[in-house]
Amino acid sequence: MKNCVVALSLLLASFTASADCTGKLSVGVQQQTITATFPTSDAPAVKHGDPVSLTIGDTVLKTTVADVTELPAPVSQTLITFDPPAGAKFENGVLKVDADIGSNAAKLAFSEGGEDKSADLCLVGQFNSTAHSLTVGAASASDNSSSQAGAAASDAGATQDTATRIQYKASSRRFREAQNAKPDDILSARLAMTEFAVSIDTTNKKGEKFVDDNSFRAGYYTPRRSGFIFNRVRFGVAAQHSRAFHVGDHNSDATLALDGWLPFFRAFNFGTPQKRLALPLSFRLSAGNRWQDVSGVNSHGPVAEWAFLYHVYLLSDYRLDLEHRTVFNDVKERPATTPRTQHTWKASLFMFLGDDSRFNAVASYENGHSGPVFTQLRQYFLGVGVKNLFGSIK
Amino acid sequence: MAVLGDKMHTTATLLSFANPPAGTDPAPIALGCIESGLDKIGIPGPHQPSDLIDFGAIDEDSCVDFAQAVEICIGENGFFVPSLAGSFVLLHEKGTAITVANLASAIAVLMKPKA
Repeated sequence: MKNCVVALSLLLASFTASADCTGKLSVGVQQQTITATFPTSDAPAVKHGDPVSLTIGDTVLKTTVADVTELPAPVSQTLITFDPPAGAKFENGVLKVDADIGSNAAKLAFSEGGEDKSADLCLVGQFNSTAHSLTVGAASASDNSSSQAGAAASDAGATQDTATRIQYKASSRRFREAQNAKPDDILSARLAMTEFAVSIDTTNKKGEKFVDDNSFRAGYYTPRRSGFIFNRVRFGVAAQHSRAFHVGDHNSDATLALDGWLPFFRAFNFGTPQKRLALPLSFRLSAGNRWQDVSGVNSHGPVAEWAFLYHVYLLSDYRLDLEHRTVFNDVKERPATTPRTQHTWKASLFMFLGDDSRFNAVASYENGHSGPVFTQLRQYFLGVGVKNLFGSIK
Repeated sequence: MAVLGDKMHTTATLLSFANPPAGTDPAPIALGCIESGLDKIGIPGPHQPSDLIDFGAIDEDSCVDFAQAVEICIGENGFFVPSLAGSFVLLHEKGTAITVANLASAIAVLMKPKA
């Protein structure tokens, strides 16, 4: 039973997400109208004609409020649309920004009663982004090999070593118009996507005390296509090379990926007084090859993964999410604790306490291998999900 | 055969909303466009106005696709609507389950005839 983990805790992920980001910033698919959406309780007090600025990374867009519309319960949201900003650049209908899309954050600055205020926003939908950053600084590491005698001895005996640390990150994500795409279709169905990322994090000192983590990644994903028995299927290829400059260890992966939905397998309703609509069975497949050189030992082999997710509604208040994931790893020199095939099953039960409820009960069960750390994991989870406990207050 | 019937119903619904005369009530157009948006993301109809859309079980990318499909449909029916993607993603993050009819009423509030 030592592999069994029982946890009882509060899920605060939703709270954390809402605290980081009050509203959403998105762009209309037809007229490229920029819209900010807030829960009405958190909406900034702006009105038609107010001058505002939108900051997305290094991109600052000066504009004015075109319209403010408050939607009543149960939606309870306020939508603020803006006049087209003078400096906004669009590529294939997608707003171009100089920002790290991974940070996913924007800011709306406005004036209320002569006082400057701001509201946080998260980016939603398609944005073309570029970003790079360079940081040079000092890094220190201590050798605690003689620290076993206690904290005081550890502090006294630690040997400090310093190095110059260089961190450089660059990334680019571009949506590109696909051939034979319908001009009036949703963007994910008519735009292919390319991604490039370079990350260097190293020092001028050799040895394992300092970070030496460098990688290059490139990927291409086709537009999503529906047809036959599939819904919004996309295909992707990705390559990643990771290398430690000082040691020479490196890892290279090349993978193909396919994901989408199967509408024939609709979400199942059992005994529900009102039919609930959700996405059908979703799937994700990927396969490729890995080449690795660790401490002079060369090895390679195929890696593959497949995963499925299906929703079942029970009675009036329950949703059961069923997930399965299998990882196949046939690299020849893999660690002894890493099995060739790893399976994970997960069942999560959500209990709805009403549209205005702030809590969901969640129970999940995972049984299977989970990566190289645990050779076998059996985990039960019981918890309470917190939905939108607090809004962000400005 | 059931699937074929569903598609025929959806097509008929969309056709009935095409090219509305000026002054048309936006609510039924919103209802028809929600129907086509659900079909676009793999939830084919027909649906009842009382059916609950569980945004908690629709991932963020699908919420964006759903929103854009509704926007395009509304635009094709002679109305303007602001970007709905942020609204749908907020509903997803809150785990909101909302009836098709209530969602259509909310979207109708945002719709304005194209100039």
